[in-house]
Amino acid sequence: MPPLIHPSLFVPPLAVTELSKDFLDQVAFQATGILIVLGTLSGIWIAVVALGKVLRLFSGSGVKAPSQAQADRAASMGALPEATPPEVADPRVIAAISAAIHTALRGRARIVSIVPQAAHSQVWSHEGRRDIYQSHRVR
Amino acid sequence: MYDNLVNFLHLTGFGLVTWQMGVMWLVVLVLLYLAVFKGFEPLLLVPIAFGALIANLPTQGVVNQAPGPILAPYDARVVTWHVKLGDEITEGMLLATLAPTGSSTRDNPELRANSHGRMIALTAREGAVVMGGQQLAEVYSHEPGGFFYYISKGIYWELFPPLIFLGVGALTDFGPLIARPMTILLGGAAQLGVGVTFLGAILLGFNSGEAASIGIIGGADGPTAIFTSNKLAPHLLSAIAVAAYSYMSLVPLIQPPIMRLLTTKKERLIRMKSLRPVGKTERLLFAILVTVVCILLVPAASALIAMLMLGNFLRECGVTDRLVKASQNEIINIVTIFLGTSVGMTMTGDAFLRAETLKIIALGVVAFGISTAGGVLMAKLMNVFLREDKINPLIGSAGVSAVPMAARVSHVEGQKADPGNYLLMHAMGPNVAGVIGTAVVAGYYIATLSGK
Repeated sequence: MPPLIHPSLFVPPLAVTELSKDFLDQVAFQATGILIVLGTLSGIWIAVVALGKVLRLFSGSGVKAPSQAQADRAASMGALPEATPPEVADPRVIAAISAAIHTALRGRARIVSIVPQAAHSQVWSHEGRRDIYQSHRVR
Repeated sequence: MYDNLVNFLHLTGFGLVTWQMGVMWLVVLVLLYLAVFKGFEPLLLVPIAFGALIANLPTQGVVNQAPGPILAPYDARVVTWHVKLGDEITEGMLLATLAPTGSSTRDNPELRANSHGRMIALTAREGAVVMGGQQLAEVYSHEPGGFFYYISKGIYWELFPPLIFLGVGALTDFGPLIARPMTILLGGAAQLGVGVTFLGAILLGFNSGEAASIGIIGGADGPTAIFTSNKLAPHLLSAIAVAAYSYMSLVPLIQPPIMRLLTTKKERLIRMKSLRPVGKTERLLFAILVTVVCILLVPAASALIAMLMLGNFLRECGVTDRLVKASQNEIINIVTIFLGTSVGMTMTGDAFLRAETLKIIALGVVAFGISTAGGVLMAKLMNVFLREDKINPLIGSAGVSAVPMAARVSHVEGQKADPGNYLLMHAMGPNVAGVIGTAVVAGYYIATLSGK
């Protein structure tokens, strides 16, 4: 029994074959390009992983550990001044003072000492009152 | 008085306006509208559009070529000279008829003067076969070329794209990529659109160099597209540059539907672990490593990779603050103005209003779409092999190198699924990998297709 579809139907004409061959060459060209890109990037991936491991091996982590001097400095900046009276040692008070200093001085500063005002002193309240009065001054 | 008025009218440019110029004015208005009122890449589209406006006006002393050697624009045979020695020539005058001998059949056979002066040498005789860039004749005049003739040399001498890359390197933080280097593969997969579009362009009748230049649009990297096009298909430069920058500006519109189509709700909800901090030494060594590996593998991409990584090294080394600031601001800004206007200058009506331009614009959006899909699908494939700390596939789309817009799109899409999910830094990894990937693809094309 003859085949329902003649095999010659699957054989493209010569021109089409040439075109297909050219096109398949271009497909192979693109596949090579993608492989080169992925290969290059994979190489970088492997090298970066290796680099990270080597650095961690030498320093304990990829990030350089702070030096002792830096650590001491950071500790001294974060620590309370030695002369801090116990009544203002509350971290919330320190935070409020730090924020006020930052707002007033607009830069980095270090608190050297904290001296509580005497209970009867009204310097700050006077200053606040003066400020309020100024805002209501009749011109 | 009447005669004076008539003489003056003859000196105006109205008589030189063509219908192509009129159409290009509309194109300029559309580009300016998109840039100014829609905010689409205004830093690039405004100079490009303004350059296009100038290119489509009968200007004097702006774009005219400096007198000197007249070079063959492509491989050709000189059929006929229409001028002879000693003739005075003016801009636009037909000098010779050429018969292209290269692979492209779309080269204009008419060689027209782009400068004015006296013809002092006819180097190539009628019937001579010349290579592109070979001298055909020489024109003498004591007047220099136009302002943008010299500025445009930044494109043709390939100065601008590497300088832009210097600025990009100085602005880019490779930390997220170093912290999770496997995401570099997403930047590679997002080059899929480049390859597929290359094949599409071949089917539409473009030659290999033209197809490669069009495909690079899918890399979403304007300077690389210009760099590649200038080497492989300079006659398509304007259409490719405009398509690349236009689609880069449309990333927030093009990518999200594709991202949503290819991901499930569950995948979009994936939360990725915080990235580890990356030290200074690691960053510096990374810049050197990428420079060495990429240049050894693809020397043709040296200019782009070297300048990208030089900019990044300046940024990370911490001792060249003034140079970093110059790279991040003055250099990249000045070059952007000159690059944009020079690209716009190539958009003359007769060069831009062709069927090829429409094909390139259509192929460009296909390239973008497939590149987006390639990155997303690669992330899904990687998740098959990852047991823990899976990748949110939305960051795959950032593998196209429109930095940082593509990463921002990933972040925004992630937040639509889960407002508490912050993908931005994770997406920056593939995003900067895309820059490297596109440069490598460009290097591959230039190395293999130059001179064909």
